[in-house]
Amino acid sequence: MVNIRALLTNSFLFYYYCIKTGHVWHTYRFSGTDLFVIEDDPRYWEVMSSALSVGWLDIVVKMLRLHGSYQLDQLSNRELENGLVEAVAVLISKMPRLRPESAAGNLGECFKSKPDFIKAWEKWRSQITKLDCSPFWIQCDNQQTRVGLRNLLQVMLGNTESLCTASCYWVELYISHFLYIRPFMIGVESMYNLAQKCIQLKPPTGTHRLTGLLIGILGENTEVVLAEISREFGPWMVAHAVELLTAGSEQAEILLYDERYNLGGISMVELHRLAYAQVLSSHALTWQIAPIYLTSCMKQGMGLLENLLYRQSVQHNNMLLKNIEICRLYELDHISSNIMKVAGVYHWKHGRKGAGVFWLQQSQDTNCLDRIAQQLFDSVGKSISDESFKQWEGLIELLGSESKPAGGLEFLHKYRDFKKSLQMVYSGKSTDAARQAVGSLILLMKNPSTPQRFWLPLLFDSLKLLNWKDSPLLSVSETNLLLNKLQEFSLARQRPHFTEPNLPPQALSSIRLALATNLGRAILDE
Amino acid sequence: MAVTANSEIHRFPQYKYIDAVRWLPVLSAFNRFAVLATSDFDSNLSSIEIHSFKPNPLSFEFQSSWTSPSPISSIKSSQFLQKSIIASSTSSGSLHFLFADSTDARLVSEVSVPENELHLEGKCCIDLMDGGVECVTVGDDGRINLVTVGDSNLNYRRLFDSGGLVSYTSVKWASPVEFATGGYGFGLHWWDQRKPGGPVSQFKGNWDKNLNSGIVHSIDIHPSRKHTCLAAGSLGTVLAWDLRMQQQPIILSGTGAGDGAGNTAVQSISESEVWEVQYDRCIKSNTSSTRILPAMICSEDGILGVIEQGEEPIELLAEPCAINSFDIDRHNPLDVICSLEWESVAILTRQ
Repeated sequence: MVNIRALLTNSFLFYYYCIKTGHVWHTYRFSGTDLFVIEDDPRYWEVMSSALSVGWLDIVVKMLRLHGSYQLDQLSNRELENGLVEAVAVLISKMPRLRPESAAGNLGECFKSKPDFIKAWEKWRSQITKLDCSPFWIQCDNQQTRVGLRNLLQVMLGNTESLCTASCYWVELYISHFLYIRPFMIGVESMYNLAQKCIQLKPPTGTHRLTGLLIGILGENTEVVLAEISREFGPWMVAHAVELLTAGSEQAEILLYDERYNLGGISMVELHRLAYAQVLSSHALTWQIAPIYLTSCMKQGMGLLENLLYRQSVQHNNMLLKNIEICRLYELDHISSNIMKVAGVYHWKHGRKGAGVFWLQQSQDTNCLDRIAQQLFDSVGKSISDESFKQWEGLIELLGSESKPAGGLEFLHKYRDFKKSLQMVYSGKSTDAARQAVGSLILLMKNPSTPQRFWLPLLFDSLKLLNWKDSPLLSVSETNLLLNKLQEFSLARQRPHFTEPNLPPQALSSIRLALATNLGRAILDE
Repeated sequence: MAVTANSEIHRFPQYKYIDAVRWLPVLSAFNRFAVLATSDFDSNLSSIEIHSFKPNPLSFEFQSSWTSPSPISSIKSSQFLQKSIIASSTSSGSLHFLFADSTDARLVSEVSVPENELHLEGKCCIDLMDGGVECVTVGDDGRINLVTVGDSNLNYRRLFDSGGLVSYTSVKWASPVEFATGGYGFGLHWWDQRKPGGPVSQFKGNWDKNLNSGIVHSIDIHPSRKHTCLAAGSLGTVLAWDLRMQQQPIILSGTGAGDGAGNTAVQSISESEVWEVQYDRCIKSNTSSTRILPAMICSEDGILGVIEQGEEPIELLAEPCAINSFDIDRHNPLDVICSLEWESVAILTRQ
């Protein structure tokens, strides 16, 4: 590999060039003083022929112009030599190139059409041959110059031996073939054969990552290319290389998209995408990108995506919300509902009851909410004091309106309202408040979501209402309803596994008495 | 829909996950500092880092850091007695106050409340009063504490404990004795220390059939409008709760808001979680106006924008990843720093 840097500073001309032979880089520097006899240094000519072989025309021309014969005090002595050098420089700068146009400052003449180019190229080669055969060479005194320049001409004429000597690496030799020997290569197969030949002529000293890949590409062998990519580059490259390989090649497309039995019924495309997605899923910072790949894999992607989403922790709201957002983006409602259920139960078990109820409501899981309701009743049903109700206030707020599924927790909401209205009754003596309280009581008793074990406590709490002095608050039908409920309750007591509510022993009878009295008074009123 | 404003955007990759970001108020006008709460997933360490920001030539350089004993839940910064304070709460329930020098932001000292004193394990959110004397902390466990910062000591007391029945996710001071908290179900509570025992007012966010339920992630209260509370949370919802009209929230943005009675169809700047909201202080407030002042939000779908009641929302940034937090510089309100989900920080200078 030849690497040439030209550094032009104000007063000094320094040329650094590095040649890599094998694995060793040799650095050479020419300073201002050396320039006088630069042409005596064989490395000067080596560098130029190497640069020319890969088509770095401007560097070669610049270096040629450093030739000692250009010095003002040398011109008179070495006129002939200078003429030859300049002639070669001019020939190089006029090399025909087949391209629409060149960037400003680049050497070479550009031709847009093939016939124009061929004509110019042949003319150029004949000019080189003419110079090569000229008699002036004999008259050139400086041997180094003579040999060096003629070698440059041989390179330009496409002399295989010269090219081989000039290039350091098989890729350079390959390129020089296209520049100087056959600008038009027909077919990928001949390119492949040429590459093999160049490798034979310039065997690589070590394995280079791209060699196998280039050969695979030239050989149009998709499987070799994939194998090379997966060996040398990471899983990202393999996953995305498929798009490059299938662009414009039907054969590759069939090969890669074909579902294979030995891979479990998936195609190679899917296999590589899944492999990359697994890599992404394994790190906390990249798992969120994995769904993009997983959703494009038709066969096994969704299953793996489900696993990925379920695996994420529900402990922190941030992660949980991001997880749910992904479900929303990909329309995976059942997964998000399950995740919310897990989160709800998690928070509930860790004592964060409000959060638990919230997530369970979001997941619309009425069964779980009902079960929680039973647990809540165990703690609430014992005694409802005003302080404990203050604590429950926040939780009850979550229950919201009828439209949100809250299961048996709806009852707590209504119980709270009933208790509030009872309080108003106890504080004042107004009959209106009492009627309101009775209204809530009836609603509660009628509502199927009111658990049976609360019937007796409810009726016991409303004893004052039932024994209202001024007038019976309950109508006949309402009293009958309550009596029926009481009867149902008494029957239920006979069943096994019945837990007695925590009330004074005569509660049942006093309620029955109050209701009977009320019934009598109500019938009289009507 | 949304209009994109003119601003200079500079992105600085950090190579660590950034949980939150704040400007650090300092006395010097020439040096600008930012506080980052970072977590390193490989070494499992969380730390608070101070970076200095220089606009010309552009640089965002690490200055110093402090390693936190457990993952950081939230950070706030303020100035107090010629020193800059950074308050941070961690997921193990401890609270730390870092004092930094006001000119070069060197970390000078640290006082802390140990874990399990203030909160149980879980996320907790804090707010530091302007002037940095008092800090209120609220947590997932339903506790509310007040911490008073002295020069070298801390006093703390429990204000309320719901025993896990209510979880709080955000808090903001309104006045030296009042603050607002937000939680699940778009619930907002207003607290007054002069009336202890519970919240003095409550907003039931999900009572409105048109508002789907969600979590409040952030609250902001403007010093000149102390009765109005701006809350932002799930489903792109940003609403203003006026204490004087408690049952009629003004919904500024949200996909959960349908067109029910009183809610004209609202343009939503974002469809997913809004992580933070702050009043946009670069626009001079017109104290006589009754409209809600413009506010800036950042969201999970990568939007940083300004919303104003009755106007079209303005998009400042639309990133392919989420924007987890942002802060508007008090001294230079045109500058906004925000933390992107893909381990980088972006600084915007608006024109």
